[in-house]
Parts: sequence; structure tokens; C-alpha cells
Amino acid sequence: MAPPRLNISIIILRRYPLLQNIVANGLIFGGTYAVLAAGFALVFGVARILNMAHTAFYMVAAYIIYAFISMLGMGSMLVSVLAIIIAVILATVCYILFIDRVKQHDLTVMVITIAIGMLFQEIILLIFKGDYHGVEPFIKGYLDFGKVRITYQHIFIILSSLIALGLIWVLLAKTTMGIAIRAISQDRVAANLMGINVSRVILITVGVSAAFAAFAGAVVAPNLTIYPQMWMPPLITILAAVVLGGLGSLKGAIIGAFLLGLVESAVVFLVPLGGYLREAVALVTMLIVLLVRSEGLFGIAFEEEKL
Amino acid sequence: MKPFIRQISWWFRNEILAIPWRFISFAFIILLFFIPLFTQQPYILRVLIITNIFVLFAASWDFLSGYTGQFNLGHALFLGVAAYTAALLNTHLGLQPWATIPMGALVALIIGLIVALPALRLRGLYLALVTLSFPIILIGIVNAFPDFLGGEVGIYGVEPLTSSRVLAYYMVLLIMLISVFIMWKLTDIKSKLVRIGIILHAIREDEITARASGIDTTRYKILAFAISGFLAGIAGGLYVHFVQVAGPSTLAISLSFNALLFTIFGGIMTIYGAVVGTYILYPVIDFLRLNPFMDQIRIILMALMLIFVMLFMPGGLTRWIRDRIEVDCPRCKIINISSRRLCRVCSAPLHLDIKRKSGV
Amino acid sequence: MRHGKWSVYGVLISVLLLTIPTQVAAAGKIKIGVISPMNFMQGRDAWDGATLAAEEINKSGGITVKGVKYEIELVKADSNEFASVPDAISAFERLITLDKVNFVVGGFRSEATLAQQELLAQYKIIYLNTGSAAPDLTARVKQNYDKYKYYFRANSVNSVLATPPVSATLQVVMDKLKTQLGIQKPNVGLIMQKARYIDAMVDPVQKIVAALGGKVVGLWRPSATAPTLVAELSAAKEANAHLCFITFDGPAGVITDKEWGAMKFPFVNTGYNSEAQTKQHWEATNGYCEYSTNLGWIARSNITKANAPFWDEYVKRYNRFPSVYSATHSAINVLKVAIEKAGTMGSDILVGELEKIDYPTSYFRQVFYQKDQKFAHDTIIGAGHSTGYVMQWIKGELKVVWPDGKPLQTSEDAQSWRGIRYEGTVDYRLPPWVVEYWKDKK
Repeated sequence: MAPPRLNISIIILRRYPLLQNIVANGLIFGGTYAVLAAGFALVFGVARILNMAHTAFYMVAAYIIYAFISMLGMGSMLVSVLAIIIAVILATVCYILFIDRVKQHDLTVMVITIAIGMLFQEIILLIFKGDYHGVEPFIKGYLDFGKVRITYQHIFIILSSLIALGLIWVLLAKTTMGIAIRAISQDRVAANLMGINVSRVILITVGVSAAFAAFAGAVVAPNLTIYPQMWMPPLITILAAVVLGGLGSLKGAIIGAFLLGLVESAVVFLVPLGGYLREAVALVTMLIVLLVRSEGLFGIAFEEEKL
Repeated sequence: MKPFIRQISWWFRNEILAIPWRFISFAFIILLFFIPLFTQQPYILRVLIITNIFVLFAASWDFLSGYTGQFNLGHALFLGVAAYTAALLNTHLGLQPWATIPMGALVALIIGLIVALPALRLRGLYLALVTLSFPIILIGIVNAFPDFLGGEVGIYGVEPLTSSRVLAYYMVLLIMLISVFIMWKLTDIKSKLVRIGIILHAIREDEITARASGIDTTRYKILAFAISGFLAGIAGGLYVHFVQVAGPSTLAISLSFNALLFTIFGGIMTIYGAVVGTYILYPVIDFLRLNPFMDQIRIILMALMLIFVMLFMPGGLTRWIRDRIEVDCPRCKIINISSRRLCRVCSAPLHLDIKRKSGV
Repeated sequence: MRHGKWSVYGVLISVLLLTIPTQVAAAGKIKIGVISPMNFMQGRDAWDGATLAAEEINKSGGITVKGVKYEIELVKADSNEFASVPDAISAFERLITLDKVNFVVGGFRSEATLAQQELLAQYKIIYLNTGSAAPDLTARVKQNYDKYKYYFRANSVNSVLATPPVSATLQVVMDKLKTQLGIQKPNVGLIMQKARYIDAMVDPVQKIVAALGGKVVGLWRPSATAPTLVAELSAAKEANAHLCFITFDGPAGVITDKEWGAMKFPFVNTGYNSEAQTKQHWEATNGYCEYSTNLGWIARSNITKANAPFWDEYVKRYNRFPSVYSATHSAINVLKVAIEKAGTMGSDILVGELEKIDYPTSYFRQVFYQKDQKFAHDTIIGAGHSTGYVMQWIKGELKVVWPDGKPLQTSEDAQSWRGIRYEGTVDYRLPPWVVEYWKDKK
């Protein structure tokens, strides 16, 4: 091993509050996770579907973007929109074919979504093989923000995430559909009795959620290595974020995502030798939060689940 | 001597032959014992040995998650911990499999107790996602101590179970069958010997009522974790002594998901569902690799098969089959083969809803 | 029907047995199994390299053993080792017991290879491993020679033995920083993926940096699947690194080069990225890997006579460069030479013959370490053997910038490197934005 003095001095050197960097990087990770987590939490809150294939849609969007841009040379904005549309159609079809019949069995649905995720991965592996791919940034160039260097694409990601989250907020707070969604999340039986067509709303929520996953995939695609297993690591992180924030709480999911983004960023800056532990640390953070409050930060404790 | 034989044959005819599912299980077990007589091809035996190990793994998952409803998405934790422990004991201390496997399982049991603690506080999906995180955290720890735990390469040079492939096959088969039988018996609701079966059902169905009835649910929930962890640990020990390497692949998420998928495919909360599910999904999928075209699409096939079963047989394959081939007598509740018209015990008509051609 | 169950199972088993391909290498055939994750670049390259070798050899009369000509027949085995280690082991056993191959080449994930080694002694099969990097694989051969002697690492990927060319990746860059920018004591950042075989490189790299007059200003250990490396790159910039030694073998390698290039981080990017040697890398990073240098193990260098023809044929056939995993081509040729010299295919005798081999393949001059040396049966890396190449991405092409004919300062046999320079080798170039950034600072 390297002389201990050298290692310690490296760690001490890094203890300079690189807060700017930590925060900036945390916002970038957090932004992506937040959009994904929000879509995930939306579907869960409304339909109690734990969609393990959520990030698989994110992956599908990324591959569609890669395929159409590099193979057909289409413009990136157009392709992104296309990717979102395809993902929504795919998600709706999957839901109607596979999930709608059994949506009351939480367990069955979860298993089916895992199978769907595997299916997407294998189909992509078949078509594209296991090679790594990448997509050109939509906006090239970077700028220095004080001591922090970020690309315009990163800024684009943060802004897009905020816009997406804003859209979700508007959807939920201002539209009739949004009210219906919130009603169903709070009390499905009552919502049904009030005349809301629960099945239809759930279908729409599934589509919206997939749209956000695809949106995240499209926006982040240029900043990712695109490979068939890329859906797994973010799945773990957003599961942690959603649990940490409290299942059933959209606000919790978003805050949880940013929190974990910051934690991961902090790990890399404060403990460079432990950079590979960032995922583990994110999970430990989740565990600690649950230890303190077993429904997560903003979790709604369902009465029938409480003891 | 003769009365004894008559007793046995009576038992066999009425307890095994008459109940279709039991007969199938019995025949299947006999078949498993006879396989080495059909072929001693090491590759085939290898796949079957790994299948049996996974059966044990999946069945132990069913025991915990199926029966008590405490959903464990990180079952690979137990297998991995036991595998690493057994590997370390073997490579550093030279202990033999008969010692390392129980000790590895014991460590897995202790880990099971540790995991049970947050389980007591958390419910449903929270618990599931927390259990998912444990193996991942452990992989991080494994990578943090590469000299001791081998990093991404793992601990290698573990001694084999036995030098004979056929002997290893029988050892693993026997251990699997005994463990599965124990679990099956423990979860039997009707048993007068062990109450644990019905208590586990009670905990899953309505824990509050169970507590109100005076059952110490905490103790039983911990017990379920301990037993499940121990048996998964046995699977881990067997695994490491067969594959001879203990690496991070023993803690992989995909391994945990496999336990889940195999069991739910076969039929959750049955124990034998895990057996059927694993035997269908693992070796068949593996043998499909022999055909180059099938090799490409085999995982896709598995996923589609899974989805199909989940949609049309949500209770799992074995439940669907049992519903077709067996029927309970409406009068005396004894299980009958569904092709019978009258109950074998009380002669009541079994199928009241079937219109008969020969008039009313 | 109750008894029908028996016949069902009987039929099922019979069907399974029927899918087993029938007996053995037919008289006149030598079967060589190629085991690798076939859906990925490693597998495709392993198979393609092997196919070329088999075709060339068969076309020129095959392998002659005691006057009898044998044709090579390749058997493909998908190890699926990314997803499952047991799969890799059963695929290996299948090759031996079902397909009845005589030899095996390929391999990639060391965890799986270590387990596969256990089968070699049992079946006495020679395995020429071309893709696994863990030093343990050959250290084991020394420790327990009788058990593992059938294993050879027929490629120069041992992370410990690679120290001399690794030092080159630093020396070339640091020399240029000295001569062009006057930076005598460059700050060096180390971004090295967390992995055990890379752990073995950390110490040597730190010593090399010190010996070359540099100063390590940071050591980061990210994971192979890290989604972004901006954090590490920013931290290195904060530490005023002039250059970073970066090593990865997973998706993180792609994103690092991309972010480094897109954000023009003001330090040199050099290191050891196993995925970065392919044209695919240029596309995956959208060209942002330009000016980065990497250690690679194959180039069109004319290092041996067989090198250029192999390279050209490979590019013509497959429309991509050979990679380090295509060294199955080299391994199969080594086998041919050994078999013909030995006059038999008996494993024990062949082991002895392989230990004596000294043959220039399409990759390098193949010589193995002897059984009493630290990494027995490993490919010797050094001047006159496998040297490796430091290659730089320039305008979508990989240009060799080292060996450059100069002595390798930090190596024990420093002077033996003097004069080694292959045709087509060019001068190393500093990334323009790095020059811009540092030329006014000190």
C-alpha cells in the first residue's frame, strides 16, 4: 500500500470545503434522479404499481436517441420528442397487455415489471449488442462558474429537470386530471365513488410517468454511456430516493433524489479513495433515515399498513 | 412382515397415489435419484447440481417471504455471506466442507437476525426496498477490503465438495430434499406437531389479530428470518464448494431476483412451487444454450414465460396445475383427483356444476 | 394418466440427450473451444481472431502431427460471464465434456477464469487465456504447479507485469510537459477504478511518478459504472494537476474521456483504459477522447512479421481494428507451433513444449515465464517481447507514440528499450487547450 502519510495528506487536502463543486455536482445528479423518481412516485402513488421497469424506459429512450441520431442523422430535438412518444406508447401498451389484468396484486405487478425490464435489456442486447455508445451533446460548450466548471448540457439538464418538475406540479395542482390523480392517491375508493374513472386515470398516469422517464433519458443521454445494463444503477438510486422521501409522497421523492445526489457528490469530493462506495453510501443514508422515521421523510403511513 | 407391507401399501395408495400432486412429486423425486443412471455427463450433472442449490435458495426465500409476507428483495445476502464465510474458513483454516457449510450457514443465520431487526419496524414495500440495499452495501464492503475478501475476483481455491461428480450430485440432492421437506412440514397448517405453519400464515394475513390472539409475532418473524437465512446459507456453502470461488456474483441483485422469480413463477407460499419454478426456469434455460439460435433469445423467452404465467396463472404454475388436476370433495373435504366422479372416501359427487348428458 | 408421467420424463431426458453433439474430434480434426461473452466486444473479437487463425492455418495445410494433417475446428461457447459466473463455468465444462475440445482459448472475467482453472487439472486440458488480467491467475501456477500447469496466459494483460509500458504512459507525457512547457515537476492526479487488479497498480504508479520527478496530488477510486466523473475531474483541476493517469475497464471509461474532452479540463489524459482501443470508443465519446493516450496491446506496428498481414486482413474482413481480445489469433498459432514441435497432443508433453516456446506471433514474441518464476506461464512483457503501445487518439485514428526509441527511465532494464521504435510511430502531442492553459502559468 502507498505510504500512509501520503494518503492522509490527500484526504486532508480535499477537506477544503469544495462546497461549490459538491453542490453543483449534487444538483446535476439530483436533477436527473429527481425527474426519474418523480415519475416513479407518481405511478406508485396513483396505482400502487412499483414499476421496476421505470428506468428501463429511460434506457429505451436513450437508445432510441442514439439509434436515430447516429444511424439516421436526425436532429436531436426531433429525436427526443420521438423518443418520448415511443416510450409513452410502449409503456401504455405494456400496461394494457401485461399489468392491467393483475393490477390489484402488488406482488405480481412488481414481478411483471422486473420481467419487462429484463425483456427490454435483452432485446436491446440482441439489437445493439453490448458495446458502449454515446450521443452528442445537444448544446456544446462549457463555462466556469467561479471555481465550478459545468457544461451547457449540464445546465440544460438542471433547467429541464426543473421545468419537468414544474410541469408535474402544474399538472397535479391545476388540471382536472391532476386533481383526479391526487384524489386517487389519497383514497382510491372515495375517488371512484366520486365518479372518477380510476382505470382511465391510471392509464394516463402510466403514460405520463413513462413520458417523464423518457424525457429524463433523452435529456441525460448525451451525458451517459449507453449500454444494455444502464437501467440498473439508477433504479437502485431512485428506489432509495423514493423510500427515503417516503413512498406515496411526490415531494418526498424529489427531495430524496436531490438529497442522495448531494450525498453521492459529497462522497466523491470528501473521500476520493471511496468514490466507488457512493451507491453504498446513498443506501446507508436511506437506512439511517428509515431508522429515525420508518415511513421516510414525508411518507404517508397508510392506515392499513400501520401496526 | 405381511401386515407391515399391507400398512405401507395402504399408506402409499391412499396418501400418495390417490393425490395427484403428491404422486407427481414422488415420481419426480424418484426420477431425480435415477438421473445419474441415465447419464453421467459432467455438464448435465453440473447444471442439475446448481439447480438443486438454487432450489434450496428459492425455497428458503418462499419460507420467509411467501409465508410471513416479509418481502426480502436481498436474499442473496445470505447466500453470499455463507459462501464467503465457508470460503474463508476453507482457504485460511483448511476446514472441510462438512464444517465450513454449517458454519457458513450459522453466520448467515446471524445475519438473518440482524436483518430481522429493521424488519420489525418496517412494513411492506419499505421492508422490501431496505432488504434490497443490504447485499449492495455488502458488495461495497467487499470491495473495500480487497486483500482479505478478494475484491472483484473473490476468494478462490476453495476445495470441492467431493472429487466425484456423481457423489456430489447425490449429496446436494439429499440436502436439498431434506431441507425442502423440513420447510414443507414446518409450513403445514394442518400439522399437530408444529404450530409454526399456521402462525406464519396468521402473521401474513393479519398481524394485529394474531397479536391480539396472544401470539408473539415478533419472535416468529425473527424465527422465520433465522431459518430462511440458515437454509439459504446452506445453499451458499454448497455453492461455494462446488463452484470453488466466492465472488461478488454471490451477492448480486440478479441472484436475489432469481429466487423471487423462480418461486413466484412456480407458486408462492407452497415451498414446492420454488422447486418447480427453479427446475423449469434454470436448467431448461441453460440447456437451451446448446442451440445457437435459442442461445440468443433464451432470456427473452424466460421473461416472456414469466409474464405469461403471471398474467394467466397469478398464483403460480403449481397452483394452476393443482386446480386442474385436483378437487376437494364438497362433503368430506378430502383431496381427490379431478377425473373422478365420486369422492374416494365418502362417495359424494365431486362435480356438482357439471351437466350430464344422460339427463338430470 | 398417472403412469404417463414416467414416459413424459423419459422423453424429455431423451430429447435432452439427443441435443448433445456426437462424439469427438473426428479423425483429422483438432477442436479448439473459444470461450468469451459472445454478445460483447470481448467475445466477438476473441471469436473473430480465432476464426482468422483457424482459416489461415487450415488453408496452409492445418497442423501436422507426426506426418498426419489435422484441420482446426473451432467451437464457440458463450460464457455469459458478465451476468453469471456459474454460467461461465458450465460453458467451460460443456466445451470439454460435451463438445470434447482439445484446447480452450479466450476468457475474460477473472472471477470466472479462476473457477475455470479448477477444471483444467481434472480434465488435463490446456487453456490459453487471452483476456483475464488478475495477477493471481499465474501466481497460482507457480504456487501449485502440478494442479494448474495446464493454464497459460497467452497475452500481456497481467496488471503487475505491465508496469514498464504503464510507466511509458507517464514518461512520454511528462517528458513532453518538461520540454514543451518547462514543467519540471508536474502534478499528477490518479483516477483509478476500484478493482483488485488495479489496486496492484496503484503503488507502482505512485513510485513511477515520484521517480520521474512528478508529485501525486490526488488519488480517486471511482467504480466502473459511475454515471459521471465530473466530480473527480473537477477535483483534479482544483488540485492543479498537469496530468491525470486514468484507468478504467467499464462504462465509466467512456464517460470520463467524453467529459474530459467536452469540458476541456486543463490536464493531460493518459492511462490504461481497456475499452479505449477500439474505433467504438471514438464514436461512444463522440470524438471527445481526442488527444487522450492509452496503453494498448496491439497496433499495426510491424513488431513482428505476422503483425501487419494479420491487422490488414482483420480490418478488411471485419471492418474494425483487432483488440487485445483478438489475441486468440496469436494463441492458436502458438498452439500450432507447440503441437508440431512436440509431435503429440498429449497435454503434459505440450505443457513442456509451451514452456520452451519462443515464437513471433501477430501480437508479439511469445515467450512464457518458467514454472519457478513469480508469474509462471505468463507472457513476458519487456523490450524485445511484448512491449505494449502507448497510443494517442488523433482525428479519429489511434497513433502510436511509444515505444519511441528512448530508454525507459523507471524500468530495471531501462537501456534495453533504447532504439525500439516501430514504423508509423509519431510524436506525442499535448492537447492544445492544456498548452493554452499552462503556458502562462508556472
